[in-house]
Amino acid sequence: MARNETATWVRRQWSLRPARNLQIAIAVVAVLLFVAPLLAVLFSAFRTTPFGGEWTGDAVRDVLTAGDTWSALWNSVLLALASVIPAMLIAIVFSVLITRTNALFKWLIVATMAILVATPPVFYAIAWGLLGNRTVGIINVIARGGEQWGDGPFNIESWAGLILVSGLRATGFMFLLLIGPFSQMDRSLEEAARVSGANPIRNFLGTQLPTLMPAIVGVLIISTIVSIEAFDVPLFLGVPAGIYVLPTEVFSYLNDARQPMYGHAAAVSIILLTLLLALLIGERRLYGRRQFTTMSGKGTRSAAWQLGKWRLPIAVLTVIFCMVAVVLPVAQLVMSSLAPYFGATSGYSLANFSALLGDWNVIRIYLYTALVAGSGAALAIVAVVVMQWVARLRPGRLRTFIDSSQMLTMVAPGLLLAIGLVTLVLASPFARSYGTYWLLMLALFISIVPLASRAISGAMAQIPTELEEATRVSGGSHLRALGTVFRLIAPSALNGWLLCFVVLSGTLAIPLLLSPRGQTLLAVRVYENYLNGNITVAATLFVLFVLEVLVIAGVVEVLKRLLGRRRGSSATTSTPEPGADADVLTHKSPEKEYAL
Amino acid sequence: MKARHLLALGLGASLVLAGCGGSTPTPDDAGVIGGGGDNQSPAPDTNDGDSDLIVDPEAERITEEQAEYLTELYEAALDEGGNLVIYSGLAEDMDGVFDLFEEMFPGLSITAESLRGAPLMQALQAEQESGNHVADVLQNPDAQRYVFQLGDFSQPYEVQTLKVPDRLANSEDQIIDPEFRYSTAFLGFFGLGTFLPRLEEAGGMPESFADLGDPRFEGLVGFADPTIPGPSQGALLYLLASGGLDEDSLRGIANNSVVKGDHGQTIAGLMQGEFAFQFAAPVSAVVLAAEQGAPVEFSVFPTDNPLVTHKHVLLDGAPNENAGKLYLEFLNLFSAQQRIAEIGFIPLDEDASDPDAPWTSMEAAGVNEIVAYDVIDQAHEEFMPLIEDAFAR
Repeated sequence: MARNETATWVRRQWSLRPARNLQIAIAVVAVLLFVAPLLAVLFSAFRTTPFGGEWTGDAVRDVLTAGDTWSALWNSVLLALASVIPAMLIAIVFSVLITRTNALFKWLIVATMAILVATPPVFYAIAWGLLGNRTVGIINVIARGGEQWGDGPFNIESWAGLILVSGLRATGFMFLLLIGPFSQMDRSLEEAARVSGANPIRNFLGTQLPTLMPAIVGVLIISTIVSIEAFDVPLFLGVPAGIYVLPTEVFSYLNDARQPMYGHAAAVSIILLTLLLALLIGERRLYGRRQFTTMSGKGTRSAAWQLGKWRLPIAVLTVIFCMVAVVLPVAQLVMSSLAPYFGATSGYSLANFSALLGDWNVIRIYLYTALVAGSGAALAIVAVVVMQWVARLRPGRLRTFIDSSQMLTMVAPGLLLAIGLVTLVLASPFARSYGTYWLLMLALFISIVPLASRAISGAMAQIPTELEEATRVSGGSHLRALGTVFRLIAPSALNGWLLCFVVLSGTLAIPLLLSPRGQTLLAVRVYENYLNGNITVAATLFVLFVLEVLVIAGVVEVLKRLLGRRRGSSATTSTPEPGADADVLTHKSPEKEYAL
Repeated sequence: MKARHLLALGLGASLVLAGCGGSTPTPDDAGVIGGGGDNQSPAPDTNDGDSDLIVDPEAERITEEQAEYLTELYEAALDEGGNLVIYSGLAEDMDGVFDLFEEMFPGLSITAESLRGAPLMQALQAEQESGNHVADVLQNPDAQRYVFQLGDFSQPYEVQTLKVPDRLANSEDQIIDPEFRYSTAFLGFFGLGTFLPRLEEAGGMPESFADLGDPRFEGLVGFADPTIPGPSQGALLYLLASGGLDEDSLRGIANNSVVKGDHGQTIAGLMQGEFAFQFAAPVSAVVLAAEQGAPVEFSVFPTDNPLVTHKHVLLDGAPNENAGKLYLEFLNLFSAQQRIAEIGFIPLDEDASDPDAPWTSMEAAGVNEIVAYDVIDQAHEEFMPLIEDAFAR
């Protein structure tokens, strides 16, 4: 009887405030998924080990009094500043070239930046590790006039190398974030200034840039966060040179001793987390103010700036940038994949490919990685759509929390997230899930939610809020409305899934700690081969991965076209092409479009 | 505390031995041959001498009874699922041996994962804590740490096909743990890796490890970070403990060294000619690189070469226990010993050594004794501060 009454009460409450209740449910899930692992890190800093250890403050004290900790913190800040600031300037220049001028090779710039962002950092770091190898890297061999076994002049395993590679990746990332605001900017001011006699450069610096400044600062902060939490590039290029940043310091506590020092790793993570959280709060505040959103589509029809005599030199510089950023590293990897050993000048063949493709264990790694990354990405896209849809049902604090929570794990580098999850799982009744596919996929899902959120938010913003009301008026349920949302954003969701899939396929930090033993993921296999000196194998694995991604991208494109045909070309909520880029680049709300 | 642990282990092992001595192993309910209480003395079932044996006892230099036992293990391993998981510090180097195992025992496969140091400890701890066991066998030169010091992740198993060579009779406890918690099927040298195109620049080969401290080798000695557990650290401790290095030569070597982050990166550095010599190069890695065509060479000095015992442990809770036991037996078969020599290790069976590679022969390399792990462990306490000081980053 009592049970029936309770059930009736629950049903009544649910029907009275369904939107609020949905938001509460989603918020609870968000706390469990995104907040709990971070709290677990705090917890584990005061435990000797997650495996039934003891309470102690020793680890925190050791870390706070260790010179290496502060040196790593300083290195992190230095690396972020040295790579992000120049990258920002380059990204702004390219954004202007793309959106304002009659520059040549615009497609090349967009393609280069997209490749830079989509290439998993582990592969990019390895590519540069080979390219800038001081004895046999192509750059040095060319610089020495072809001498094969010389020394230098450039050593990629150095501060200069670390900054260069981090800066190149940051350039791509920032370009893709900036191009949206640049292309959507209100150009009436520009027209007015032009009529008043201002030249284009003065016009841009005096009127346009200040208008874009909030967007630029927002992107700068996000990029700084990404730079500070970067793990792969500093691991491959910094650690061999003795340069430790906070994420690699965390890793060294887990990796470079007779037994893992979880407490110490967690204590360093807290410093990292504090730094990143402060930056994220800054970015959120900037975003939250929203006074700088003077965008419109009106000015996009303005004539492009004529580069005149600078058009050709700029085109040459563009090509050089693309060569350095993408072509050379990829060429080095392809050459290495064909060589019998790294540094060989003859004996090129497809032997590495036939050996790997003939090895069932390797095929299994690709299949398993595709399964884990594919399901993690799909789960993230679905979860983000549901969260954003629920958030839109009702304004208020819950909406703000649900929106913000999707970005929260952006401040949790993979290692930190993995430590948090290990602590949580081993303290729960689900201890046996440690080392299983499910826990790995959960960790990957959590880690990719911020990217999925950015990939989807643009398309979600274009779906009118009236849709929900219309469905309800027509007698449809919330679930039906959600189904309609999924159908409408399918093309953008596919783009977002592909991006998340590629990034997850190359994720290294989380699988390093959470991979099911005996079932390696691709990035870990590549890392092991690289560390064991099997460079050609690592390079071949990368080339095969690129081929895999191309095939999957082809399938996604076909699916999108099939969807487009079914829906017809007049679908109002489909993502405009180049849809994927625009989606990832800007954050839009139903009312206005906001720069990041 | 430690003594109590050892006493308890010894008592437990004695009880197991007493309870099971001389019993005839048959597959138990779980399909485990020689498992559980039968681990120490799985005398083979000999009631079917004409049965098809999975290995040829004559060719593999084992008895027919042992061949029958291997056949039983093989059948039980197939019933378990057939996939053996090995944690090894040298997974890539062991590929040839794994391939031979899979050829010899159709239907069985090996998944090997490179794990050493802290990540290995993390994996073993997590499996023990969560009860989600994955690995069956551990291959590690410092396996005693995972048996006696950092926890006990082993289950005792007496390998039937393992014979201690006469010349190592004084080091028997390094080959077979008295409580059967680890066994060693082969040894290996840490020697000198040389990148041949830069040999001239170095002005010739050094005469000993200590000689690498000579100023003429400045910037020419590749070194994996010895503050991290691994071959470099182990070799330094071995040499310092055995008198092959003193403090001055250690500091000289540190001054001459190009320190890389990890052992594997140092091997890669050698293959790419970043330095002329690699200190304490594991033989298998350099031999493999040379086979791939890299202009590198492995060599050992006339004396004072660090010798490593490649210990194997059957892990507690191994999900493929019979496959694990079969692998430990397999390593002592003559064809496996030959394959081990091809990789560059020292097989315990002297006949299996490679005449063209003196570092694979105990006789040619003058190996008569193995420095006990407790001596090395003692050296760790004594010399690590010195090493850390000399190689401070």
